[in-house]
Amino acid sequence: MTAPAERELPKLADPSAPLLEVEGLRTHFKLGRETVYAVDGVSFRLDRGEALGIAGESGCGKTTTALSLVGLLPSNARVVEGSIRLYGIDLAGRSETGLRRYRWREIAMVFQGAMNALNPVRRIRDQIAEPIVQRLGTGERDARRKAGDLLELVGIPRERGRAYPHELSGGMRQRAMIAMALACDPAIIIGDEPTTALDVMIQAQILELLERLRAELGLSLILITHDLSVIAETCDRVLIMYAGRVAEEGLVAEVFGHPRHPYTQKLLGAIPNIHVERRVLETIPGSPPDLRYPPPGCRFAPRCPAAMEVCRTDVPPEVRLADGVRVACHLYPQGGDGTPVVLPSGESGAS
Amino acid sequence: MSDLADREGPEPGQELLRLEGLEVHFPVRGGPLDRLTGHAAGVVRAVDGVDISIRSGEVLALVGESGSGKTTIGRVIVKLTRQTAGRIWLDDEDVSDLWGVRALRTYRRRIQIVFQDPYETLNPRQSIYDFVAEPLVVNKMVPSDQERRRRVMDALDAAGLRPSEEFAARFPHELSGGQRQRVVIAGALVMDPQIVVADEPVSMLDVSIRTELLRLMLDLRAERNLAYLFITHDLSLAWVIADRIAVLYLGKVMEIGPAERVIRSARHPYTAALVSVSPSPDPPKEAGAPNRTILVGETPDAAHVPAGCRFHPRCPLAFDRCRSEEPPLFDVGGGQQAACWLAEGGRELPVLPVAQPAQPTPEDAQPAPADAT
Repeated sequence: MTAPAERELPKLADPSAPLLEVEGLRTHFKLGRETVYAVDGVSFRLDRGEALGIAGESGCGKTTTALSLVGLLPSNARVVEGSIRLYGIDLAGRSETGLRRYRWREIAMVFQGAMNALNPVRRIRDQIAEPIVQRLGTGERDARRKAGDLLELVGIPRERGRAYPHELSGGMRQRAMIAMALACDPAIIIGDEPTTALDVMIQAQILELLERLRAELGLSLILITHDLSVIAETCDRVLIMYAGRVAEEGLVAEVFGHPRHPYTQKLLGAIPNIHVERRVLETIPGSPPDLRYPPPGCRFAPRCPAAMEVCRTDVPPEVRLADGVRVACHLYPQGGDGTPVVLPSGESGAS
Repeated sequence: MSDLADREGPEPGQELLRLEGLEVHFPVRGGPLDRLTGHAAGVVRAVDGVDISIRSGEVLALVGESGSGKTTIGRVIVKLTRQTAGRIWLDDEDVSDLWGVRALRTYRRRIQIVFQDPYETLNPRQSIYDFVAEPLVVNKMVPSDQERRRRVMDALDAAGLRPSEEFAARFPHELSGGQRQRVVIAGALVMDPQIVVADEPVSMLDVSIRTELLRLMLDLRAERNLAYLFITHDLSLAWVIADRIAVLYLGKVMEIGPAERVIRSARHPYTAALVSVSPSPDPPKEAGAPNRTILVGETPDAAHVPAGCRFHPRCPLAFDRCRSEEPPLFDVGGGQQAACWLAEGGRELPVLPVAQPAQPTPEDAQPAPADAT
């Protein structure tokens, strides 16, 4: 396992470029004759050693964003616009074979249901060794030894590597998935709801493992989840998505401490928190828009308690505030000082 | 609308349902040799001696991880699974041996169940009206069509599906996830039950929709004096909705009591650890990492329940006695009970060590049976 500074960068990499920079990403699905605007202009950046959380509810485009990064989109989806630059190398619009050299070796993914992602009839050790042989050209024997090392790294005794997936518990399978993601020593791991199906104690174990790996291996992490609490506890920065667009993005302390976007405020207010007084939980009436026919202005406007006339007609620009938070909401005009133009009635953040 | 905050505890209602020493043990099918000799290979002790009662109008949350037996208890209460020992009392009637569609007709009228996944519960080819009316038809409750129609419309209306006439004519695919779960609730309400067993009723829903469902459930409790057995893996959710919380581990109650007391002053180390790892949406304090006690290993398989206190192999505070003797539920005052030797005589729980999880041992890697939850 090499430290981040010693990692060999891929060919054509610009060592001074940011690790990952996504700009104006649009990924659309074809559904019969209709187009689903699933991801519609998403930009973000991931620095070395950083943990970024991407949050939002079902259908907000968070998983589609992740799949766009690794080129694992379903056949009816396509990146239609934007760039995905890894060390300055643009991955967007590359063919499947063009992307293969970066998947696993640079960006690896951990999925939610480890049972579905693992091959049920192969020993986990062999499954972990496979990408090492195929992608790095390591010999079978060495690859198997490395698989054993990786299992120990994620907290599975190496002799358990002989087990088949069904012989492991859910938590152990998820650890095996993480070991597999680490097989080719990637720079970035994307976890798509990696703990969602797990019990709370196992979730805590897995998140603790990811934190430890990030520190020890200098990994960068993108954590995709509907659970904002998980992001609050494990990530440096958070990107809140709504209906295919970025609502708000910034440091976890800023976004969760002083949410600016009405959607973020409502969402945070809807989460039960065992560690503070019982409070009235927020509801957000209505449901997210059908992304075949997204509303013309702000996509949250139909459900927003603070919606103004302009919200229904104009797409809000993304504005960078003084504390570095980026927000797309007409309450925060470009060149403003970060105080909302009109306070939403009775709104005082998430508290 | 009911608040999901600052709710007073329930006016102490009458005890409706009581479980006494409830056990559900499943034989494990072994290999061919076991089958030849007629020996069972072992026993899965899914529920292993549970005493709880539900009072009218109260929300009792049954909280536990996979393998805790929470779902099995719910299934026993609605008579979908047969207990292997113990008694079930409804009012003062012993209903333990009540079986068969006819015998259970009255019982089913009073106790209904709502499952987690509305997609599986609803039949895509059945209209909402037919789904909600079905229990009335099956239980031969309302003979007249007109009366049946009125009951269905009332139930849809009470579940917040208004105008009810319009919703009744629709099919599941025309509804949102939240509306589907409301339909499932209407299907329970139409029987006008006293107890609803709700098994993870909101875990498939997005947070913004979840709150509406929880409010609906509390509104219905206020209007109809409904009692809920709210089964969940999520302690935070239990804390939001429940009057009382029972924490289960490996088929037994570890701690039970008023929600506020169980969360704020847990007397069982397992509860305290669960509280400590329940994530919070607040940004972490500058002081550094929160005091999480991450338990080592996983819940053992219910076919191999540890001797003594079943939690002792994972307990950061275990001592000699815990390895040999199983603690009973000790009364610690204020309606709270904890099955821990440290709670004997109502003592406070010592502060848990902030555990640095060690490497799990091979024993920890034993799969827990997925069907025992």
